[in-house]
Amino acid sequence: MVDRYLDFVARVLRNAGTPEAEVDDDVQRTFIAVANRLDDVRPDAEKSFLLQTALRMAAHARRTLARRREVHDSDAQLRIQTPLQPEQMLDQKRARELLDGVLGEMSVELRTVFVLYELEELSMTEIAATLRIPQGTVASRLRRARADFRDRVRALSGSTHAEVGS
Amino acid sequence: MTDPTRLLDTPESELERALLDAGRSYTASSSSRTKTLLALGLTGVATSTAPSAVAATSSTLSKGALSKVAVAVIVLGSIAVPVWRYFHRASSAQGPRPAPAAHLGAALRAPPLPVESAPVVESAKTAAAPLTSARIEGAESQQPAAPSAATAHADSRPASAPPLAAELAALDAARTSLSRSDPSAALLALDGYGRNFPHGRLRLEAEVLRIAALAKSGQSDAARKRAEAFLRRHPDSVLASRVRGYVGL
Repeated sequence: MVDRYLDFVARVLRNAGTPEAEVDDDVQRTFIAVANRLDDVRPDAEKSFLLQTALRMAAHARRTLARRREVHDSDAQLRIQTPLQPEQMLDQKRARELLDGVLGEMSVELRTVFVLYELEELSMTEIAATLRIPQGTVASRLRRARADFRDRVRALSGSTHAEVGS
Repeated sequence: MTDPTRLLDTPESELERALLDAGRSYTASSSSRTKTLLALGLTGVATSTAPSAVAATSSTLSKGALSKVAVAVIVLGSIAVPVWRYFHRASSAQGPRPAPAAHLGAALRAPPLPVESAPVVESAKTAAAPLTSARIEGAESQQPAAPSAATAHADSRPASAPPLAAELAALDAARTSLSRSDPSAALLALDGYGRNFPHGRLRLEAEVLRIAALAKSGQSDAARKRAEAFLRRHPDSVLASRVRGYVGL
């Protein structure tokens, strides 16, 4: 299970808001939590169980981070206000920092649906089952999340004219 | 309700594409697998992980487990260095060595293998978990080209290890039977797993499932005997609490 889902769990944690420095620890906690309840997990539901556990871990990490930021300024916010050079836009590390900034400014509800749909490529049906919310709610959140994401990316690149596709 | 086209399929800018790519391409760190297996008690020792990486392992590991790792690394490192020197001298004494590039080939292009790695892999038999091939695989994945003792040890494995997916499928069959309250079918599936994967990487999980199946089929004595043996060998395994629960220890 670790070999099959290690990258998946790490990616969900990171994109859902776990700071880079804490991803390894939360990956371990996620697998331990699932291992301790393996008897409750259907053989074909391991990924879903890991996903739900990882999302809870990330939520906890975000809350912890938010408490820290009540004391300190957000580094990510400062970073994304810096003007970008074209070559910087395509730099992988820089892209990761920018993505963190954009996702970090989205509301938790929109971010979660956005990450699961756009980055994990889950279907809306799967997202509804994972989050235990109606499909209509998923569709609504996804529409708003995509618009929000594109607005923020346009603001980063200075572009304001494109429309959000759906 | 149809799913809309994903943004990465129709990005409106290179920046948007780069950001989405960054999100999709994130992978676990190189040491994350080892740390996670350690935390799960599935690889008693940190395979070829450097001592610093072991030291960096998170607080999810117990102090006891960490101290065992540290002792194993120190003791085995002290054995490995003289052994390596002995063989190094022996090979030097056999005459002039060929040019390094020809002699070692890709090994010289690979990062150096920590001297601890080989004995740590070997030591795993006594340290905690029996997933030797999994540990070796971990060592290989981190140092793929180094002609180390770890690689030599790995040669004792079957030439072509069966894919992990096949092992998972075999164990899934056993788990499904157990969840349907059919321990006899689970035991049959586990017998099949043992025959098909005598060097399986998931033998530890298979043993736990067997204990559960024996307990649920009313073979309490056999289940208890196996559970006690399991707990003696793997007292710190994350699976230990499940094993205790099956037999009421």
